[in-house]
Amino acid sequence: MKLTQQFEWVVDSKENPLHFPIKEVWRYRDMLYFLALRDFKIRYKQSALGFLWAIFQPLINVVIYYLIFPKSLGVEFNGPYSIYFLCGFIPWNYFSKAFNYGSSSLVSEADLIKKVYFPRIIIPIATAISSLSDMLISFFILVIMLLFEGIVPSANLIWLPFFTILMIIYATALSLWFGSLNVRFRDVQILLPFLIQILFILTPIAYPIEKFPKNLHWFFTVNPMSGIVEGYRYSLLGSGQPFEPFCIVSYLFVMVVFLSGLYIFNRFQRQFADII
Amino acid sequence: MKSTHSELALECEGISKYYRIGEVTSIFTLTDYVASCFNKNSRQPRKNDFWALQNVSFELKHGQALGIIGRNGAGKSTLLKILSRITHPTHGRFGFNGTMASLLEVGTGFKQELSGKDNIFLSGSVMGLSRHQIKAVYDEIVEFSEIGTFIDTPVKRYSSGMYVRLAFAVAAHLDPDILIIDEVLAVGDLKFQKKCLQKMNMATKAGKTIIFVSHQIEAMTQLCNSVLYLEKGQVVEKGPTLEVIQTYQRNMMKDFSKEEQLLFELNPEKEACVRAISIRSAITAKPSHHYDICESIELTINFELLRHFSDLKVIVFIYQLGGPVIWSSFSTDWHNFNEKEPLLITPKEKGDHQIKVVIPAPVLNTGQYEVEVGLGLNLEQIFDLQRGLYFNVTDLKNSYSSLVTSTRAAGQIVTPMQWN
Repeated sequence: MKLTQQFEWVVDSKENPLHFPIKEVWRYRDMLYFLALRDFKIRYKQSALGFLWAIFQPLINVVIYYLIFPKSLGVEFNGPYSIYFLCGFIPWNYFSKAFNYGSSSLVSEADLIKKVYFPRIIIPIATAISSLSDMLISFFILVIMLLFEGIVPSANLIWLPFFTILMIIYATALSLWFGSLNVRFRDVQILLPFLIQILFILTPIAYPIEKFPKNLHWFFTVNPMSGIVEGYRYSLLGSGQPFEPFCIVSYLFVMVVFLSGLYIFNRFQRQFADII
Repeated sequence: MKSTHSELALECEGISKYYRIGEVTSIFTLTDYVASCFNKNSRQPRKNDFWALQNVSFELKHGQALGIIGRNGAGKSTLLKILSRITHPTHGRFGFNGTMASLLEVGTGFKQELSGKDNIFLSGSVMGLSRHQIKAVYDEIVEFSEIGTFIDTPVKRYSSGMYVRLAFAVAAHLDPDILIIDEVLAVGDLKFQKKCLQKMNMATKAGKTIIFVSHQIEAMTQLCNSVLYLEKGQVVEKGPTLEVIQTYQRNMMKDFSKEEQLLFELNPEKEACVRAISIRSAITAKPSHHYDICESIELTINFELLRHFSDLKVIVFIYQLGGPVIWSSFSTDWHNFNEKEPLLITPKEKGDHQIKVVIPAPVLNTGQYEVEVGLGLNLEQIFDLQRGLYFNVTDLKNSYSSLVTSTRAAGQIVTPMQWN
């Protein structure tokens, strides 16, 4: 059975589960912007320091980790360890936030999902993009520190956009997976912080990739953040090995996670409004 | 794609929606899910599962207004949710041309913390407008909402009236090609209800396509070119407004209880129970379903209290058949108004009680009505609520109007006015 004529928009109970509604996401691009703006405005509302928190939070992080991690982790780097650490920690911090918020984002926007139509995929994408605001500020602090220390990035810097985009896609892909599951099983929201903590330890953030046990290097293939963190240090400091074979495979793994996440998301999203 | 008037604005083909109630209401966690994967029996339909919609098909031309009627639970809201793409059909498909917006609620996307201005942009963008489109109508929205200088104040500091005005102003400026409206949103504020109707009238005149769910038969006859009548998720009839509405009213009449007295079981879980409602003429004392427009009607209500109450009211609601409540009365009403006449003291002791109430005449216009009886403190705290008693008011003697009844239906109240 079919509709009698061609329509601009068609909703069918049978739909391609790998469909990515580019046309519609583009039409709703301003919603992305206003959702991100809303989150940013609300986060610092009614706090005495207001937007200053956006700068203090990453600063406090730097100080804490500077004190906790000793310099004896075997880092062969010509400069303060805090800078070495920050180059890995800033992308990680983005990733953990985007992953965590992204996975609960659908549930926290339940009111919208139940009441109005918009391409549902906007929600995880909006979280992945709005989490960038914090990273940009941290990054700005980092640049100041680099200049202060007299570290000038080499031509490796051209790799930075690649690793950044890869990281955003990865965080979005995981949000698609875990966000969809979380609509049905809120257990996900509870387990996620533990998972992120474990990943933090298993990712070469506080230590260089060479220090990771050799016989466990296969793990990098399913942990793309290892390569991305090394990639950040490679681009900014010139130290790091983001092009280890295992890392390169992991960049392809990002695409696997993204496509499977899209599939799961599309399968689940038909029911979001009913079960959320 | 160029659209012409002969072209369809929307077409539905075999839309069905299946709900598994267990998944909606009960806590459904991973353990349950894993268990259900191994347990084949759980794959079979459970007793609460149901088809909210079955095989609904219809088409709608550009510039036409379609009304959807049906009892509560007939699937009207589910159909609106599917058409507005909030939820997905289990089977079937539909297509439409142009932009679509649905007003199932006002203030969608509003955040209490943000200012009115921020909320206009946020809500507008959530409903599919671009930044430029919102900027273009921003001044109009502010003016329409009569918010004035409060536009930069967080909406949590707004009065509820201001909030609704602003929210509706945003919705009213969406200007989609297809507009979906649930009348439920118009309940409450009269002024707001009127604005809603005005907006819809304007939209039809501007050649917009409208899908409209309402209990208000009158509004529907004014606005709609055709009506879709749903019952238990299935289409009973679709076609010209008046014909379908007549079928609907005829079917509602069929459900009239044959009895002039309704009895209700005692429910030990409730503290107060309506046990019986009966209806008879206050003039001839004869039980009936049919009354003349000048004949007052007596209701006898039996109820049982399972404990002593310090406060209790008996409440009578009168509904237009299949429509909104048009009259309500508490047994404590008018106590401060008329001090001379001894008014009823509502019994509050534990035990069986009987109470009588007279619906005066002529007040109700000709038509079909349903009685609902409640026991409670106020509209929020009601211990028991029973309905299902129907009656019909006719003016066969032409006491009210010498005009033919069907052309003399404007208004629901016929209490004589003084003409000098």
